[in-house]
Amino acid sequence: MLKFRILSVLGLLLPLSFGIRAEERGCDVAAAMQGVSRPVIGKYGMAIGGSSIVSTYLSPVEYTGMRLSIGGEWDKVAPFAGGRLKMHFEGNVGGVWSLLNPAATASMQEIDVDFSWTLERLWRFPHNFTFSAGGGIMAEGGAAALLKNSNNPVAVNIAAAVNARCEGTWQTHISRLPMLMRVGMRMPLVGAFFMPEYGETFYEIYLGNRRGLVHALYPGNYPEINLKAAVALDFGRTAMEVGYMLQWRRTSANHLIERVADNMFFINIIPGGMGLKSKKKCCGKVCYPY
Amino acid sequence: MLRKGLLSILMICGMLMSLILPSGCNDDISYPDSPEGNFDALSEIIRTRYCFLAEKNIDWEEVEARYRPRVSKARTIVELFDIFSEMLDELKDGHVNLISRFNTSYYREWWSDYPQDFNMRTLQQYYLDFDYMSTSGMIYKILPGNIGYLYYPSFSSGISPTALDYVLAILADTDGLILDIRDNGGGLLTNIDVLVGRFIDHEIPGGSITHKTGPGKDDFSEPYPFTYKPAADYRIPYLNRPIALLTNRSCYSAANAFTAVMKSLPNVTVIGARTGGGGGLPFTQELPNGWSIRFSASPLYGPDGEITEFGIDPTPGFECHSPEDELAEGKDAILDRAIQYLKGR
Repeated sequence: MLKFRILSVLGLLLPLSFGIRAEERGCDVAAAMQGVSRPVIGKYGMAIGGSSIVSTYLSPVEYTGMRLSIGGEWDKVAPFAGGRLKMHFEGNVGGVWSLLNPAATASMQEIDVDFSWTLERLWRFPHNFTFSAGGGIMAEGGAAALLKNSNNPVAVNIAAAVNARCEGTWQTHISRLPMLMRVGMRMPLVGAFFMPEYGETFYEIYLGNRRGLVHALYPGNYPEINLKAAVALDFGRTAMEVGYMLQWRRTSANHLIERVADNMFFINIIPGGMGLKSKKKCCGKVCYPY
Repeated sequence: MLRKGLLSILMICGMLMSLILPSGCNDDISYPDSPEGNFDALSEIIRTRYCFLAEKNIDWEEVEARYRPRVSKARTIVELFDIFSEMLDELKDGHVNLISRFNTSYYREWWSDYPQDFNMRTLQQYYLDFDYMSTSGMIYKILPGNIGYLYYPSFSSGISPTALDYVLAILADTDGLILDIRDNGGGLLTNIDVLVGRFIDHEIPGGSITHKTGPGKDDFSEPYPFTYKPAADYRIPYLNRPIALLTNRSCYSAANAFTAVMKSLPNVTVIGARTGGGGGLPFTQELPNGWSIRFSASPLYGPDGEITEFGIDPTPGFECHSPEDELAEGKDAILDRAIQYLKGR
């Protein structure tokens, strides 16, 4: 299974190395990049939905509740590579005030924060399709607290990794209102994460025992998907985006498992709009990241 | 060209998904919320996480086999709770509790099968004359013969370092100190640091701690040694004078660990009865029906590597008891022995 996954990662790089050819939409992008403005498309919003956590360090039972998060995403065409690269940055902070066990006899609290930056190759296809794929770095951290527990009241998650991200967009319109649909996904590939040993208390870590706390991260022990599907409507001076977000992670090390699944709907506001009314996304004076 | 591009996109996304989907979305073992399911969950938690099965020579599979047939005969959740509690009592561990909304199980024989050796009223009336000082969870006084007396009833009470400065400043000119922790059932291990640090002038071995590294019977970490440091220079110590540490069977958990480290000091004499034990830091887990199970998970060892789960003996030659009838008459034999010992020093 591990060999299959390694081959899959290598296979991921093949089309990038050979180069996916795409027709740019009737414009020499490289030439057009001379003295071109590359606006940052910034999205700011909040998400709400359901969350479920199983953290065997705290309890073998699944806890579920309502989750709220706020965050932002920023996209910008890179100043090099003739408009074929874009940068994507996103940050989120969220939490759950009360996750309950099935018997409703106890509640868990959870808070987390995550950041991701990627540099992606951007292909522009006919009929207003784009696809981008690339890699970057991510970091995330959080804690789940089950305060009724004795010496294991908190499970901490800290991870940093090289990640991969891909996103497809399609621009269309409703009547005269420009609309952009997108589906994007990112996942960590290699890095490191924190997890205490099976029956280790934080008191022992406080005493100075740091053995076995940091683990190499790879998709076999830290599979994680962040998936977003959304529709944006560009009103000109501002735009609004609504969508669905899935965050799923399963951490396993030291015979401990932590599984988190969040299903949320989100709404973003994009101040300054998205420039969807511009017919040529990367020609002329301005180059947009889609 | 468009078709090739779309095919490439699908291939990339498929490869990304293939990295994670075969990991298994739900390979965790979970039990149903039924009497048998809760029994199996409880049994597994003890079998995989309890840390003293070997030291106590407990064949947990045999215990499970004896109790499982009774589970299906339980007619109410109270009866089911009683069966589970009875099974957990086989561990003979005061750190093991089954907690439900209507009851909390507790194995008390670790102290109830032994003499109490202490009476708070006797102490306050006949030895302190109801005239003592109290601060930060401690009561203290200078006894006749210039002997300091300090009673600390619970390590759950946080000790204010500033309050302790005042206490030890008032007791500074005494010829010896009686440190009484009888009936101290434990609490925060970090309070041990605060108290021990006043009685040492250099770093000392405190003991070691281990934990389970996996669900197997022998999956334990190497013992990790830890030390206690003296209090900061600006704090008031109590050094170079004899200390009598009074213990009884009800000294448990953090009080037990405190006794182990204090006994290792050359100027400390432990007087009274063997402590109750409780040398495993408890963890908590949960059953499908929402009941919590607290259990010993991380063993603590004394400064000389001894297991502390079964208690700490008094200093050789200093085991004594305070019988109930004498306590009722106003006589505390353990306290008398300590006063006599310190006056003789």
